[in-house]
Amino acid sequence: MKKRLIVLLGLTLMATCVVGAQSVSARSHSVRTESAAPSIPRCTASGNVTYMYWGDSGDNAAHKSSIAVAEKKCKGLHVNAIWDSGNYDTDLATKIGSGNAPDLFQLDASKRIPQYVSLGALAPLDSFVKQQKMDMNGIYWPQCVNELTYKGHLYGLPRTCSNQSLLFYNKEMFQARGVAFPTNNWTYSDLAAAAQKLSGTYSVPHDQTSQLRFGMAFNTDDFRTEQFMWDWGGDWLNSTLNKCTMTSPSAQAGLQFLHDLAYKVHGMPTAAQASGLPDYFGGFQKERYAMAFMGPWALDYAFGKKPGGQPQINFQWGAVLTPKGPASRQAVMASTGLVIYKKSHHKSAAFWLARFDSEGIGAVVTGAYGVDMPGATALWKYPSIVAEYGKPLLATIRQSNQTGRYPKLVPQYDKFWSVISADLQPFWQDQASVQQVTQKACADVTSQGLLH
Amino acid sequence: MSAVETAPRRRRRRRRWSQSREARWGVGLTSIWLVGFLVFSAVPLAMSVYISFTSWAPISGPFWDAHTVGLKNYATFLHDHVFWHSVGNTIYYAVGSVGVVNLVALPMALLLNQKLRGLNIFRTIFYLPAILPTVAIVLVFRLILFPGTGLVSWILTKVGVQCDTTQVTCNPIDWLNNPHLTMPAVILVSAWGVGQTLLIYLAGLQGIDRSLYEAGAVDGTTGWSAFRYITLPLLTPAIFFNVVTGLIGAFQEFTKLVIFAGGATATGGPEHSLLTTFWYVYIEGFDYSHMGLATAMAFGLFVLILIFTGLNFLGQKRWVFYQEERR
Repeated sequence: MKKRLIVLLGLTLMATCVVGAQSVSARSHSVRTESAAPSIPRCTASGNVTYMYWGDSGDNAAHKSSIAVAEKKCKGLHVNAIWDSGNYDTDLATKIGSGNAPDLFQLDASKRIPQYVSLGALAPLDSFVKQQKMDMNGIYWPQCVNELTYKGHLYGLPRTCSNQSLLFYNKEMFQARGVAFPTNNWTYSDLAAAAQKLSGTYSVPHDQTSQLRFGMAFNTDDFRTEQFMWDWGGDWLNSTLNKCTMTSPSAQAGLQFLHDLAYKVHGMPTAAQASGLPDYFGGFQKERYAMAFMGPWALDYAFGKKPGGQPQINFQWGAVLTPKGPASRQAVMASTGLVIYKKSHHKSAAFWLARFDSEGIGAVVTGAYGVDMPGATALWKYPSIVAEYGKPLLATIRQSNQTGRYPKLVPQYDKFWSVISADLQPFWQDQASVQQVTQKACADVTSQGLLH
Repeated sequence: MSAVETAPRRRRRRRRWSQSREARWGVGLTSIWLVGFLVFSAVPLAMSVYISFTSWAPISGPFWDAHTVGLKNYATFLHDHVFWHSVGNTIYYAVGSVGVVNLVALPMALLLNQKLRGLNIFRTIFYLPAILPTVAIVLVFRLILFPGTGLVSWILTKVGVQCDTTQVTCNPIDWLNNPHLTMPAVILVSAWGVGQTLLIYLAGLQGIDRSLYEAGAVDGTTGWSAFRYITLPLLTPAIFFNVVTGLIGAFQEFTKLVIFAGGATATGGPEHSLLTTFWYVYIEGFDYSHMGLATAMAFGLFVLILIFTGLNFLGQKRWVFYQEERR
């Protein structure tokens, strides 16, 4: 009995030592991160700030760490964190609509800024920027600052900022089909030729089942349609957003190219084939697609490369820039904006927290988790960020940010995109011509008053 | 005099006390339901009536701050062709699914009403799909109907039907993406959940007085004629009940259509072929943040259900036969 007790005590001691060592290591890591962090003005504000954000449990943990440091740095600040891992947009709208709006919250800048501003939900931040003499385009990526600007006023600070069209590729699949790896100099013709060769029934070293695989996924979402139109010199709308321009030959040529990748080149599945296949993200993970356009977030979500995270794939991969089109190699820049509710009573404290989380220590802590690239350019040099992405990939991401572009948005963006998406459907199913569907889409968005 | 006066007064007092105690118990026992009804039904209903006359977008703040716009929301959806398209789809789905479910459930109930060995096992088997989650059923049917490799496609190929004749090239019949086929496919999927309807028919069949069949047999009424002149008329209350409750449920169907279309982001399926009014209300309210308009549309849907239910009740006098009435 005594022996058992001694063994039990010994085991408990050992477990305590292991847990203690882990917490010390975590603390020293956070201290290291802190010491390398940039400085932002001292916090003079105080109050209870409600801060709502999205993400997985890892995001939440990173946010919690960041908030703990923020509360230590800013004595009068207390942060009520609201983590939402579900239907963020609906939950946020419900909170605002029920009179429980958070003071500070994340917003998808590539889709939501005009909508929230036009409905009077966001506080302009120009006065804070002026008062604190912030050089916005010097601190942050200018494209993402533009994305958070509407009608001449700034409404958010970019917590993250990255191009959403890095071309990720599966080295195993390329090798299995004897195709040369993509390069930063690729054109869309190179992409089409490779996609064709990569499509067929075959096995790969980590998946010995012989099954139908494709060069690319059938993805016709808003980011992708924009990318193909831009790269052929077209766009959805004119510069003043009051005229639909999808009927232009260049916009139609871009869309036609994407369509032909499925129906003529056979480098990606047709709409019918795609409905039984995983999406671009899951299909890339499962080695059904050799290439996929994704943002740097894929590093965490698709590959599981996060501190302590289990890798979700077991093949070698690479990433290059968006291919060159006849007109450009532009793709959508997306930013997670930190915005302040218009009727918040704690705007100063919320703004300090937004700076802390977008260019201060908070940004380093959350950036090191690897969710996405920080919006502040200086943070890209920090050891934890460099370690997370690796120098070669970081260089590619930096280059892609220089060629990226922010989308032009109308306030009713969801409805605008829904109408266009529904109208383009017959074309993606090879049942109508690009001329027919773009004319219908332009007529519909105009007649439904969805333009400026 | 005073003794004569006090006795009835005491009795009255005692009666009042006992009456009020019963009343208190009554109020006490129903108060849970009453509070629930007030908080979760009556108040939200009153609020939604108000919201339907405002331009409320949840993003803009609480609804009590929203501007009232009179009948604008009602005018907007009445002039919206997508709304009428969704109404058409709703009626198509409701009539189609209720029709299919009842046409499948009635013969099955007749079979299960026979005296067979292992009848209870058959009854359990036929009812089982009704307890499965809709999401699982629809996802399985998406695989079964998958163009080219699905079970249905395989069977059609075996019987010589390989191509979708609506297309120029020979593509397999695409139940998931062809806008002309998606709604019929969902309606057919509805037939999988006939268990509830079947159960009501079975109860109705077992409630028919056996002496009527015996009397009919004396007059030579057997087989089809017994079904036509005895079973069917006496089953009309069950048919009426199934049709009314089925239609109300079908008008509000959401999950089945959304999952079949591939998720909430599918915004109504290929060319809005699966966009029902209920789904459109959801999209306007939660995706586009037009809560005032969405609420007005919900009242439009309410009127639609009311009309259909009212027509059913008006029409029942012509075809529903209650056994008790004859007695």
